[in-house]
Amino acid sequence: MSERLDLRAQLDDAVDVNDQLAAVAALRSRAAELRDDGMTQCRLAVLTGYTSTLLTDLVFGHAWLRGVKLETMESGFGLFEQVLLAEDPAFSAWKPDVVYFCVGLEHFALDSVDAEVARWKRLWEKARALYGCDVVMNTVVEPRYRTYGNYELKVEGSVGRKVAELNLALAREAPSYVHLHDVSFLASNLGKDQMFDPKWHAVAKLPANLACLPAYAKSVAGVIAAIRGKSKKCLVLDLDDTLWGGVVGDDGVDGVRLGAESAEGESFVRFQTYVKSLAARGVLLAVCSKNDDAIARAVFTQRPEMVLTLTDISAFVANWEPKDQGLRAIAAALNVLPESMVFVDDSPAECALVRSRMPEVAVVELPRDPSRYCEALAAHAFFEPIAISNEDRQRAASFQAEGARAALAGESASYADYLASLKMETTIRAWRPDESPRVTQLLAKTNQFNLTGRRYTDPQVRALLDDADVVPLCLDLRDRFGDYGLVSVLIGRCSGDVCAIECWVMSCRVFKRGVEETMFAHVRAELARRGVRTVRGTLVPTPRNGYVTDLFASLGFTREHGDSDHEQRWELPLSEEQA
Amino acid sequence: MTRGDVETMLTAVFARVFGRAVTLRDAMTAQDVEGWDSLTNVRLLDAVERQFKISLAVSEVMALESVGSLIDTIHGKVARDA
Repeated sequence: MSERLDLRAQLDDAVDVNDQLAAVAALRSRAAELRDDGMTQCRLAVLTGYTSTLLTDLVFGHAWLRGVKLETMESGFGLFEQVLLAEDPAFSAWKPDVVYFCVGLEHFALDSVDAEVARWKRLWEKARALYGCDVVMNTVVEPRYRTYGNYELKVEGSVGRKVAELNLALAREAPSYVHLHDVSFLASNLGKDQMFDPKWHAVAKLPANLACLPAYAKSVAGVIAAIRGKSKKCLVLDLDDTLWGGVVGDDGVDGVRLGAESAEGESFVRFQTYVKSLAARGVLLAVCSKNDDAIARAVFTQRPEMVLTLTDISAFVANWEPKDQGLRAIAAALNVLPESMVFVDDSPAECALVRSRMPEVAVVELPRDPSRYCEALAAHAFFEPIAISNEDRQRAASFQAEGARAALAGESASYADYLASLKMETTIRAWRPDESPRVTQLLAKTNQFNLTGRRYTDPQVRALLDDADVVPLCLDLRDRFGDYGLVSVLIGRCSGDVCAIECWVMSCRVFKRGVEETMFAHVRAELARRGVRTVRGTLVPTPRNGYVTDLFASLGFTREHGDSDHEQRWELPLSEEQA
Repeated sequence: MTRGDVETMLTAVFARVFGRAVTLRDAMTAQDVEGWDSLTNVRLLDAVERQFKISLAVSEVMALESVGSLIDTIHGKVARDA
């Protein structure tokens, strides 16, 4: 599986085309000896009007990532028609599973759109008759110069008009075994200036500029994957900062940013609208979020700006377990394979966890800016359909009717390995006077890891530093993904040999990483050093702080008799040897 | 940027495209380097354009005869654009 992980990194969008080509060359030379269980084999004939060797190589790599192990054979430059009409024996003996016509505008005669489409229909039929194959057909890109400028589309017989008519006619006339590869759509996304430099066309007859070949190849690979049944079936979504802005556990159902009143809120509506359109045509949606289940669901039921509803979500997992467990539960509940799932999250740490623990699952790490979420997801071509049925349109509803619910599997042993791999570094110290605004903000904003809900003003926070009876501690965390900064505050108040924890908060961004245990071990040592013999803690349960229900018990505290459920009192004796 | 600077950067471009170190000489031509075919040539020139942030005209591409003439062409364009 590590090969697939390495290859994913090597073929990432950010990687230069020359490095991608080097990675594919290495992959091709070792392909025979690599593990290919679960992959589907496919013979791809590239019948080309271009010099497409580099594109074909990149398609090989991107198809591999999608679980398709290609063998490839190319026609000579410009011989796409001759191979079929002359029934080239090399291709006939090899019997390709898929024929890809890598052609463009210069390979079409535009005198008559009807006659041209009829010619291509004959070529498709010929390929089908010879090989029994599927066919992938490029659409056509209009040139960047027009005889009539903006008036072009009004002119019957103009190039712009004919290109538009031709693409529509290809789509209309393509039988079910012919699948469009929409180069026109790709070019409108990448930009024709970026994609086609007439110089390289003149010099080398490449299908597109080198820098755009990886995106081109990824797009072709998406269509081939769809033909070979490797399209993804299930989209698993994070919630906080993925479907809405902010953290519902801290900001509250009414506090998360969603809706037209802010640019950010609008971006999340846009993303939800796109995701809902995928669900409407049969992509299963699931939620996998580190959240309190009831709070997470409340956003769906109480915020009118939500485009997605709970009925759109076929499996809903909101808890504090590592996300690969949630994904396994979703896979079991919906009966989909991990290789059919796409996991979408804004957190690099969560994405890294899923990549390392479930390498079969495709991971989309969202960009920082939610206004780019739709484009970031769509560029992967994960959900290419090759047909649309009524069943597709009703799939989400049927899962909902069965009441599919993800149940959680037990925590796996390798979670410790994951934590170790994060290479976390913590510093526990008294905060500095100039940090009091951050401390005040953390105390005010945090709802989930908050024992008492006690709020402090900025002057109060500053005054704590000067109070000899107060133990004012904060914790900084960094890991290999970056610096989280000051993420936890604990305030102890000593009286004789007793210390009461009057407040302890922690940012939800660092939950489930053992940070609380690390911090408390330090607190315990510090208090023992001060001569404290008894630590007292108070827990005021709220609808939002379910995460800390068992905190004191897990740290070794004992609940005091006669306290109330609304204000629990816990106690921990410190023995002398700890001092 | 001196001619020497251009040569240093060009050496890095060659390494990336060929996947191995290539020691450049002014008189070197495509015949002297294994794997320097027409496709590699396009990759090389495309990488040169992006690395040096210059644009080569078709006539300049066709006129290139040796590594030395490539360095001169790049050096001339970088100096002019700077």
